Amino acid sequence: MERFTPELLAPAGNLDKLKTAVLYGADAVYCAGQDYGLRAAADNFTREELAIGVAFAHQRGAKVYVVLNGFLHDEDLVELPDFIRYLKSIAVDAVIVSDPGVALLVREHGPIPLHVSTQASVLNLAGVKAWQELGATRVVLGREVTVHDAGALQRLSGVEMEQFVHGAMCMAYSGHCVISNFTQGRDSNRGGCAHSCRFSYDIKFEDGKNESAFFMSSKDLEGLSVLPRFVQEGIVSLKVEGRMKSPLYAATTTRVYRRALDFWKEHGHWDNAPWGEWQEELRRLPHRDATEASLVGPAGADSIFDEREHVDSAWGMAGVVLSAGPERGVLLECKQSFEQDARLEALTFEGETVTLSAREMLAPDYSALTRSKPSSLVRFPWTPGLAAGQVVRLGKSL
Amino acid sequence: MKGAVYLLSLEELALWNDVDCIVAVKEFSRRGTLSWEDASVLAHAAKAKGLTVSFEWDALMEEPRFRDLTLKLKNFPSVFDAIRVRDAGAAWWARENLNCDIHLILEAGHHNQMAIESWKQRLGARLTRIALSPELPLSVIRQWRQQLGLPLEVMALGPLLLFHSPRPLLSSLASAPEGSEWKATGASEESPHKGFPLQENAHGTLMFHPKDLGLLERWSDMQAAGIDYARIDHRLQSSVAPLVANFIASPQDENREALKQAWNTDWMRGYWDVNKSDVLFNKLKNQHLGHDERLCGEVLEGKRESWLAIRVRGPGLTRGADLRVINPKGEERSLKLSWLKDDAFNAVESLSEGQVGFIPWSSGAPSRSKLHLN
Repeated sequence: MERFTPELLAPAGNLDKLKTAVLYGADAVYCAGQDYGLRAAADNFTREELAIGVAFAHQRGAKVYVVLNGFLHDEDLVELPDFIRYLKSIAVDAVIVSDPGVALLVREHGPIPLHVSTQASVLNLAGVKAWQELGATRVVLGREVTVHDAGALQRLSGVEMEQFVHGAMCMAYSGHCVISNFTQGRDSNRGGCAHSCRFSYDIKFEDGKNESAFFMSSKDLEGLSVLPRFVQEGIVSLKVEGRMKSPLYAATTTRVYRRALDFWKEHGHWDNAPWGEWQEELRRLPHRDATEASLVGPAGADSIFDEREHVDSAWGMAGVVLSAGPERGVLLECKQSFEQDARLEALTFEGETVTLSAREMLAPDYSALTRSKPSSLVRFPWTPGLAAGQVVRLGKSL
Repeated sequence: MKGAVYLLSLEELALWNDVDCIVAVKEFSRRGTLSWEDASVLAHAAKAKGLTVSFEWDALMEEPRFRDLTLKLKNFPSVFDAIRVRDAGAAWWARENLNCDIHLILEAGHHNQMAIESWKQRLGARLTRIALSPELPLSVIRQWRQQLGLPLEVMALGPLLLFHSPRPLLSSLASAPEGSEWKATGASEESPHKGFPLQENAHGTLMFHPKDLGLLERWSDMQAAGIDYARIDHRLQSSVAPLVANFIASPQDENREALKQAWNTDWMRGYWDVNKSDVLFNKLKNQHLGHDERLCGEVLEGKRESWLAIRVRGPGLTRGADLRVINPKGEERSLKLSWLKDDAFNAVESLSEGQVGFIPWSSGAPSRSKLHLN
């Protein structure tokens, strides 16, 4: 009998990131069309790209969930039925909604399996049942719910539970923050969040005390060490946040959590699991300080990230391998410039990372090259282990 | 149209006539101040005056707290005409376990009729009121009132809640234990608005808009639109209660102005006249880089007078095809594929979706330019 292992659900902000996540081992990805989601500034997918993405994922045994989780106005719904029918026609595996009106339309014009977004802030068994009545087969619980309680909700309701395991977090109850709406004229619940919670605020207390602080900014969720609890409670799906983030983020998070879950799947226990190695890989990404937030117990004051946003990672994104083979060599799409002494590591799909020698780089037409440029292509000699779609990271001088 | 107010004390109760009363108990209401005992006394006194009274449950609760607190509601006092709920779970629980009317607070989202319809279908005749989102303009509310056939409530005057976190965000700054009650004001470095009222209590941390939503000048419009209940939330400044009572009893200009003068916060109309909170979205993206069914590739890099490196999108590319190149500024150029090379720079006749290749150079086609079939 196959050992229960939670689904690893990765973010796909565009078609390239979808492919990256699937190639690195995501069991499922979530993505958005041009409208109806909560990331208006993301590339998102055209209909044609969605069809390509679904086919790509399905060919590799992965599922695709499409987010329709905005709080939509009447006029937004006019063209939604047509989009729902399109999603059904290309066989997306589920849609993720937070608006009961959208749920009704999905039921009427799909049906497509219905997942409830964390944006709906479902926190209790009665809330799960309320959405079950609307046809929900899965609930992405509010981030305030512990893994232990999520397991109980799943057992008591028969509805699949999904929880965030990694990534940036709303400080507010999701769906209950309208700062952007009323201070910047941008509807945060239709994709216009201005991230006001990341600003510094001058706080004046009633007793006259003043403080300047990033008091509403949350540390990033890192649930790696909580994986044994997720498994123990049988949580069906573990979601990584970050559709707006880089392919390096998609590759690294998927690769690390894939390896951790595969460790469990293979061994059936966590003894001698290389936690430190996995965590070190995650920390190589640009990140805020990490917290387990409410996965184990209610998030307290220590979950506040009281610092200005900054990038302090030792590694950045060098590029993505476009093609690789013994005869054609390696073609890399560069995301930033580097010189011949650069430290380059390819994140392989299996096994250890592979080092690339920047001293051997050439221009695409095989002419000499001493420095790469952002948005340029670079050739390297063939190196075993490299394959198209792999992400290459660049060690920074510290 | 009836006024709706929060009951705060027996002294204030003497002021209220022909209003709808809301009772907010600390444990169940995120801004509640009353104990169960005080709430019960107030509710009975209001009923004795012939007023209707609803019990507010607008706090969001994770399962353990939800389970514990609903035990207290099992014997829901009959003095309450209705329960006001915000959480979908609370609404479901009330339908299953109580016999009273249900008032739904749909102030977060629920900006389309279908969303309201879903609740009508599930709560049936028990649903006797909807408290609408402050993001809905009057024109929408007017239309909904005609089509939904449900009594509607709007907040006509009161603080606009912008943010609610379950986490204790103020006590940490004050180096004090969680669980205390804290009030403060905040000023963001990025926003022109100053003085956001902040409050921390057992339900977490709340932040309000520096200005209150104030629609009393549009009272007659609300009546004409068929709005059934206009709520005035004076809990942060209870000293104005007599002026609130005067206005509700007689919504004349002079009573409104007297109330406005005494109210210690400026008023704003919010989205009452129009909601265009999605118009900026188009500016978040480059509109010149849209996609259509004729998209066949994107430019990755170019070498002047030599080649363009491309990634093929859509159905694929064949040598000889006529293309339009659209750059991020929206400028268009024609380009004929007189030759085509694969990723290893070998001449080929065609490339398929996802492949990388090379085509003749075109001026004005930087990285991210799109290729469309003519």
